[in-house]
Amino acid sequence: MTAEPPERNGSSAVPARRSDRHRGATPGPQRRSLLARVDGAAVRAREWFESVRGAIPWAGLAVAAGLIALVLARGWLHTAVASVEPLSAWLAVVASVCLQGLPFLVAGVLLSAALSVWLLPRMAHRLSGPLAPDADDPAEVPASRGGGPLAVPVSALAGLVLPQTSARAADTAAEWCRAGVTPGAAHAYRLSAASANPVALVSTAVFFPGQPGVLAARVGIGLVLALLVGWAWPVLSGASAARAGGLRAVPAGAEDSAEVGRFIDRARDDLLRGGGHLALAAALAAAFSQLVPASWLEAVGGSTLAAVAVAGVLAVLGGADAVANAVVAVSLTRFPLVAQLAYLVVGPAADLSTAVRLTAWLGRRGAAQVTVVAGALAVLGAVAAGVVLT
Amino acid sequence: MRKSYRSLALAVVGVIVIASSATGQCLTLVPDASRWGIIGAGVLMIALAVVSAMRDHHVASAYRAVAPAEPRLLDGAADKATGGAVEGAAEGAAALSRSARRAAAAAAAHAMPRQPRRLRVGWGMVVPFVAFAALAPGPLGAYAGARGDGSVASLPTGGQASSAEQAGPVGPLAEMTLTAYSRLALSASAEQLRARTVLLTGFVLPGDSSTSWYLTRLVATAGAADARPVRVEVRSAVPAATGTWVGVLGTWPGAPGGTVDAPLAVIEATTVTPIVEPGQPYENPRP
Repeated sequence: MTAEPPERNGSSAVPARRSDRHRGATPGPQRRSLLARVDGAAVRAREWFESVRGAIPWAGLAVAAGLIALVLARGWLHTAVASVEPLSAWLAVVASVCLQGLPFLVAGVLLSAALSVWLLPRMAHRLSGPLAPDADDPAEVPASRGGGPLAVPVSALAGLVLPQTSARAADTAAEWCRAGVTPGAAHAYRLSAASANPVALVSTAVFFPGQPGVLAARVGIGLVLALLVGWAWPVLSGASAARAGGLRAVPAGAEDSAEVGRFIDRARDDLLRGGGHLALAAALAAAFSQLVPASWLEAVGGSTLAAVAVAGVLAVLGGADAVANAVVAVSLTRFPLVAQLAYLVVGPAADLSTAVRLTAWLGRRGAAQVTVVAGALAVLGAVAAGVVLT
Repeated sequence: MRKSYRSLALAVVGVIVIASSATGQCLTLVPDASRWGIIGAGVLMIALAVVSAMRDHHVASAYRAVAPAEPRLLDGAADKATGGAVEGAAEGAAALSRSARRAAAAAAAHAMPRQPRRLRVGWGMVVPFVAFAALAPGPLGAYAGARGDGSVASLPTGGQASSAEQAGPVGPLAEMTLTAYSRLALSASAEQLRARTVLLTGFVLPGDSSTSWYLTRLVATAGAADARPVRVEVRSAVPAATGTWVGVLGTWPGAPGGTVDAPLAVIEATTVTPIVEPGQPYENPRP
């Protein structure tokens, strides 16, 4: 590491350097002419002005101005929207779903980010068993070995106790694999954490009051799904298992090297991402309850199979995260209970955004494979639970 | 969504959420019980926004001390910091916290990819809350009440009367919810309603004939999110304007209305009085 020579610094035409050159040109403060002083002051003033101009968040100001305009025009807008009944009803449902999903989303995301920084990376060594990878032997590190036959059930149960959002759980699973946990166990954790974590279960209990069957179905399906995919992983993708050594690193994004910084960044980004997905899910579900013509709804709601299919597609395309998807499921008021249940379990197991995130780790084929299998199992589980419950 | 707007976006949503709960604007859309959870979420979001903005500022200034020629490096496209910059970090960032210095040094040594992950979906969170604050949608009413068959059997709790509901109201004059009245009137214990005057409240939807209209109530456990209409057919010679809130005093005529698939309870109105819309317009399915 050699410091660059000062001449090169001076010659780079960056504004920040210009004052150095000016100061360098004058031999000393005593002999500086008035002209040079004025010139120096002008340069400094211009630098200051430019730095201020650069620091002004123009888009932020535009957003703020837009917000103020919206608040000022509120009365007029309210009347205008209230006169269009379907729009106003749709907005009311979207707002209601977003508002009620928010507490669960915030709780889930904060816990998820904290665990992903402070607890889960340390768990990898326990799960990879007594044959934990030896850091001195780099050839050994990528090869994953089982933590014994209990690795899959233990990590599936860990998912039931540790609240993680599905995207964060996918990253954790990838991280575990790099640390030597078998892919099967990592997927078992990912799937059970995504579909039946404690925050998701609490929100399910809140939004399906007096229906313990829904809660039990969610736990059961999440756990069975995780175990099946975990145990079937070597069979399911012989090629992927062979490729385990070549796991591609999850693109870390803007990751801070400090733990606190990572926690803050992850919490903020996951909250915005989760909120965006919640809003999208709410908008789609509310369109079904308030905008779609009644005759279509009767066609869909009349046939259980069609309702399950539509709910599954909704969950895959624009599913909210498991911590907040119970309120979206109850807002599908025109769908039978089994379709709502399908929405609850299919989204976390097989939604598109998680699948896209998995491609960085498993490749396109591997991600598609595990997503399709998990989604199909979730649909089967929901239908089976629906038969039992109704 | 650029990194510098993420904290701002969270703060905006947090403020909207707290303001709407504090002023009661959201109470026509969500149940009362969820109010404190929503306020708590808003407070946590604002706290996270403040902390993350401070953290961003901290790391950015540490980085500026490391690489003065590229002050906007953290926010813009990923650039390569020079090796010499790391050397300058020690004295330049001396005043900053240890973790910020570490972050900056890592950034300079390429350990930290500085291109923030794109987060376009983040705007999706801001839009509905801003729309909610600006457009202030009112509670669901006649439009939502006309969707769905209006039968009590379509509720998640079903159309079966509980044992308490089957026991019927006490006294000759009873105020009942539309749900309880419908369940009882359609059950085998409907005789309980004979020789009693019942008071029902709800809003008016037009009927199929000139002598009847529907008294409607949206039944929900999660506010506007899961509201389903329950309708009772009102037999009354006096027409009422669609969407207005009324109290109906009347008696049970002894037979259900509606269709075979979706039977509706009927009330023979004696008096119809306009009332003020209740603050919490949704009816709880299990009172």
